[in-house]
Amino acid sequence: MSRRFLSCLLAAWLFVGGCSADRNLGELLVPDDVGVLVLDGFLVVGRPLPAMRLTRTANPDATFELEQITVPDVARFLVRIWRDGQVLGDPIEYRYNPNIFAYQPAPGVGGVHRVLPDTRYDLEIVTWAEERLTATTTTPPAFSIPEWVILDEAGESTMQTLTHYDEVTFPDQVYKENEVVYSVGLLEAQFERPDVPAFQVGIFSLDLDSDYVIDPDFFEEEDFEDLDRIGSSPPLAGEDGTLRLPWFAIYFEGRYKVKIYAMDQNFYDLVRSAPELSGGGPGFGGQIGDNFERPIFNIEGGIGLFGSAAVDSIGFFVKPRP
Amino acid sequence: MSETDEMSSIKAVAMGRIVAMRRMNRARRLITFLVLIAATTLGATHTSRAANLTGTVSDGASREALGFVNVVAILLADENERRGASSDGDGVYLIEKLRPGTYRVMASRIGYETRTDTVRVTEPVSRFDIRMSESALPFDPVDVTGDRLAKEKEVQTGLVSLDTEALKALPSIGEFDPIRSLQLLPGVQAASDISSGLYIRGGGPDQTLVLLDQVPVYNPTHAFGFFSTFNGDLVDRVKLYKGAYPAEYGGRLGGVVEIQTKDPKVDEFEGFAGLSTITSRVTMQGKAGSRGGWLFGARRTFLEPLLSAIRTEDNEIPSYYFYDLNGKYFYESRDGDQVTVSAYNGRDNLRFDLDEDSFINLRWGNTLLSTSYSHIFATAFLTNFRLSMSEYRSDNDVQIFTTPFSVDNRLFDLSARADVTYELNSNRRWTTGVLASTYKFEFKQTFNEDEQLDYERTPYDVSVYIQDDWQATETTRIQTGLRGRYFSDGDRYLAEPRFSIGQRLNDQWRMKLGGGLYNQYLQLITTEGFSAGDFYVPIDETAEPGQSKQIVFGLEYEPSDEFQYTAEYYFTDLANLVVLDNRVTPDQEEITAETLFVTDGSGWASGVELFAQRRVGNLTGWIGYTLGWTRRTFSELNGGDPFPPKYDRRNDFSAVATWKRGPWTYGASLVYGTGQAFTPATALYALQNPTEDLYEVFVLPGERNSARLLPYHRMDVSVTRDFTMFGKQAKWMVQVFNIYSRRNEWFVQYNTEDLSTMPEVFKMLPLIPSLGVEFDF
Repeated sequence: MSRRFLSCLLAAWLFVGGCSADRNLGELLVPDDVGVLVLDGFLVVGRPLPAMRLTRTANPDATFELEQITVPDVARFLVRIWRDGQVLGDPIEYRYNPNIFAYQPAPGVGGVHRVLPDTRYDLEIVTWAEERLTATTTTPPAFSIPEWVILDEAGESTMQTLTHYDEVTFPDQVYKENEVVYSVGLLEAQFERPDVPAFQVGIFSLDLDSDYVIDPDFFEEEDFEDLDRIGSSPPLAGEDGTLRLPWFAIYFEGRYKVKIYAMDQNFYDLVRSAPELSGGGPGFGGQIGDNFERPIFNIEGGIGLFGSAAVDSIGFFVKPRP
Repeated sequence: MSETDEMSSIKAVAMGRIVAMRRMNRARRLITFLVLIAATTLGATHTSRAANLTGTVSDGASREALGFVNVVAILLADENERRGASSDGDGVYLIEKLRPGTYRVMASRIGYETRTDTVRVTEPVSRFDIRMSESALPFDPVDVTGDRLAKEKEVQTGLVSLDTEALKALPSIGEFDPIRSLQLLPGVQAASDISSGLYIRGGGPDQTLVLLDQVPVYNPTHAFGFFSTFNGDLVDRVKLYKGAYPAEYGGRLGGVVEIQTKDPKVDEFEGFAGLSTITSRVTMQGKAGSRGGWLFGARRTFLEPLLSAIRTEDNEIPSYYFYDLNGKYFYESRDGDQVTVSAYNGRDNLRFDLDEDSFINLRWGNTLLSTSYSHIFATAFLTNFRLSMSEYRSDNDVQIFTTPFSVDNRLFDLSARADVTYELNSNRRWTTGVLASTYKFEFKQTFNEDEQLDYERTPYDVSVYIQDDWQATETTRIQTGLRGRYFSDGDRYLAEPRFSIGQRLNDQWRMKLGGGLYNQYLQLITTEGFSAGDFYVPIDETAEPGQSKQIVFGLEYEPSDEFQYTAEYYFTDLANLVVLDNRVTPDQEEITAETLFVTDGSGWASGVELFAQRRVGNLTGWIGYTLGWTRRTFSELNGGDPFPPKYDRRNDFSAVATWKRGPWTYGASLVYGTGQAFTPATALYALQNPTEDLYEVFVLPGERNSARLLPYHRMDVSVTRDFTMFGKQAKWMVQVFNIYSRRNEWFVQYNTEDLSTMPEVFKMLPLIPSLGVEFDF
C-alpha cells in the first residue's frame, strides 16, 4: 500500500511539476483595440478655444510613435456652442494644422473665442472613412479662491495668509511675499464651492535645480531620482469649500505654483476612472483589485477627453526646515 | 446483644439506608424517565401502539449531547427483527414500532467506540440513555454505518460536515486551519495562496455567512488572510452549506460556514499544546463545580524575534504579530438545562517604522461574546436562547513626511436569538425561531488632520423563520421553510421560502433537490487578493439588497460503506448586485450605497460538482471536480456587457489522500484550477494630462476580465507521527506547502509610466516547509 501511495504521489509530482508557471509576457498585451479614434481636447474657462489632437490607439506591444498614429485629416471637425437651448452662431470649424487641429477665427466676429462659463460645447468629427466621433462638455462656472492660508498643526487657527494674484497676471513678486517653511502648518485653500463634480490639484516645482527638502531614512538614492517636480491629486470633492495640500506632495525647496481645477463631468469621469491621470498607481490586472478597467471617456465613436475646467492658482516659496 | 450482632445490626441499618437511598435515587430517576416516556408516548401514539425505545446519547467524558449517532436495536430472539434511528443534534433518539422483548442495542458514530448493550423493551415506551467513549482511531470502519445513516437523514444539498479529526489529517501550513481546509472541497476556491476567503459556487467571500458557535464573524482572517481566526485545536466540527441552505440561516446570497467549538470536558483537567514554526498554541479544559466545565485556548505568532533579527537598515521588515483567545464555560443542571458562555478575542498588529516622520500601523481583529441557555421541556420540545455580540474593528494609521492619514472602521452586532424545536414524532420535526440584531457601522477617515469622513449608521433587523422537516415516506424526506425579515434601513420586509427534498431510490442511490430565495443587506468592501481593513456597510434605502434564487439537484451513490460518490448541479440567479466603485473621490463626505457602489447588477452562476470519497480504511480521501460558469452584468461596467468575475473558474479539481500506518500518518492534497480572470491591456493611447500639462501615453484596458492567468495548481504533503511523551499522547509533524514550488500567478502589473517595459507578473507563494509538535499535558 505504501509503495502504491508513494508511487501516486511521485507521479502526481512529476506530472504537475512539469508544468511551468513562466510565460511569454507579450501574451499579456492583447492588441484587441488598436486603431480606435482618440480625441484630446480640453477647454479652460476664460482661455481661447484650444487646438485639439486626433490620433488612433496603437499596438500595446510596439514602440509608441505619435506620428504614426496621428489622424492626418478628416472630412468634418466642428464645434457648436449652445446657449439657452440654442446654437450660438455658426459652428466653429477646425482644420488640420500639422499634428493638431485648430480653428481660424473668422474675420469680423470678435477675434479669438474665449471659453464661456456654464456653456455647452458640442463636438462632431467625421473621418474620410466615415467614422463619426461626437462628444459634449458643459463648462463649469467661473472659479476663484479668495483665501490661501497656512493653518497651525491642529488645523484650528490661521498662522499665515498668502497673497493671492489673478491667475493670468501672476507676477514673480508673489513668491517673495509667500514664503513658507517646509512641513510647518497646513496649507489650505478656502473658497465658495461652485457647482462642479470635483476638483483636481496640480502642483509644479518651478526651480528645476533646487535642492530636496525631504530626507527620509527609508529612501535609497534612486528613490530621490523618481521624485517628480510636477504632480497632481486624485479628484477631490472639497464639499466644505476647502482643500488641504499635503506636505508629502512637496519634495523640493524653491518656487511652487499650485493650481486648482474645478472640473466638468467629462474631466472628472476620466480622472477618477484613470488613476494614472492623477498621480495614481500602476494598473493591476489579476487578483489584486479591480482598478484596472477602461476609463470613462464620455465620447461616442472613440476614446479620449473632450472636457473643460475653471482654474485658479497660488504661488509660494518653500524654505527648508531650519 | 453480642458484638457480632451489634455489628450486624449496624451493617443492616447502614445497608438499609443505602438501599433506601438507592431506592430514592431510583424513584427520582424513575420520575424523570416517566416524564420523558410520557412525553415520548404522546408523540408516539400518533403513529403506533407498539413499543418504542428512546433516550439520549452523550459523550461519556464531557456529557456533551451527540448527534448523528446511529442506534440499532436487534431483537435477541429474532435477529432479523432490527430497527434503527439516528440521534438528532440534541442527542435524542427514538426507535419506534418494536416488538416487546430483549434487544441488543448498538450505538456507533465516527470518532467513538461502538457501544453494545442489552435492553429490555416494554410497551409502550422504554428509555435507555447511552454514553459513548472516544475512539483512538478516527476512522473506525464500524462508525461508517452511523455516519451513513446520519447522512441519509439529511436532505440538504451541498452540505459538507467535517469533524476535527478528518480536517486535521489534511496537509496545511504550520497548523490545521478549518477555513483553508474547506478550500479543498469541490465548488470552493481561494482568491490566492494568502487568502482564507471562501469563493463558493461563483460567489464572493461576503456571500458566505461565517458563524462561530452561531455568532457571525465579520472578518475571519489573520495575517492578511493567510490564516483564519479559528484556532483549529478548539474546533469540534465544521459544517458547510455550499448553497440552498435552510431557513434557520439567512442574510447571505450564497452559503453558510458554521464552526462549532468543543464543549469543555467536565470530568478532569486536560491540557494540549502545539508549537510550530509559525504559531504556538495552548488549550486547557477542566471541571468547574460538580456539573460544569471550562475551556480556554490561546494562540500567538512568535515571529517578532525572527523579523527583528533579519531587519537591517537596507531591508526594512515590519513588526507583526497576531493572537487569539478563546474561552468557554459550560454548565448542565440536573434537569438537563444547559448554560454556555463563550468568548473570543483576536487581534493583528502590523507596525512599519519608516523613519521618525513616517510610519504605518495597522491593527484589526474580532471580539465575540455569547451566552446561551437551552432547556428541554420534554424529549420532543427543545428550546435554546442566545444573546451575543460580535465586533470587528480595524484601526489604520499612516504618516508620511509628517502628513498623517487614518482610516478606522468598526462593526458592532448585538443579537438575541431564540429557537424552538418540536418533535411531533420520529418522522416530523418543526423548528421555529426569531433573531433580532442591531448593528453599528462606523467609518472614520482623516487626512492631514482633516476629518474627511465620519460615517455612522445604526440599522436593525428582525428575522423569523419556521421550518418543517418531514419524513413523508420510508424513502422521501421533505424539508420546507420560510424566513421573514425586516431591515430598518430602507424599511424593507422580505420573505424567503426554502425547500429540500431527499428521495432514496434504493439502498445505494439517493436523489436530492433544494432551492430557495436569499437576500443580503450587508456588503463587504475588501481587496480580493488579501484581507485587511475589510469593512461592511449596509445596503441602505438608496439601493436594493442583493438577491439570489438558487436551485440545486444532487445525486448520491453509495455502493458500500467504503465509498461515496456525489454529483450536484447548481444554478443561481442573482439580482441587485453591487460592486465597489473604485472611482469615488477619496474625500467624499457622504457615504450611501448608491455613491459607494456601482449598483443594479445582475448575474448568474451555474455548474456541476463531482465528488468521490473513500471514507474508511487506512487510506482515505476524496477527489472532487467542478465545471462552472459565472457572469455579472452592470450597466456602468464593461459597456453594459456581461463579464466573468475574477473567481469564475471553468475547471476546478482537487484530490486529497490520507494514509495511516501505525503511528505514522501521511497526507497529500493536489489542487488544479483554471487561471483567474483578469483585464488585459489591449492598446496604447496618448493624451495631454490637463492638470500637469504633460503629454503622456497610457495603457488601454480591454474588456473586463477577458483574459486568464495561467492555470493554478499546487501540491501539499504532510507527515505526522504519534508518540508518547511522559505518558501522554503527542505527535510531531512535517508539512510542506507547494512541494514542487510552482510559482502560481497572482496578478499582472502593467507599467503605465515606462511603456518600454513588459508587464510584470507577480507570483504566489513558493515551497514553504513547516515543523510542528503537539502534546497533551
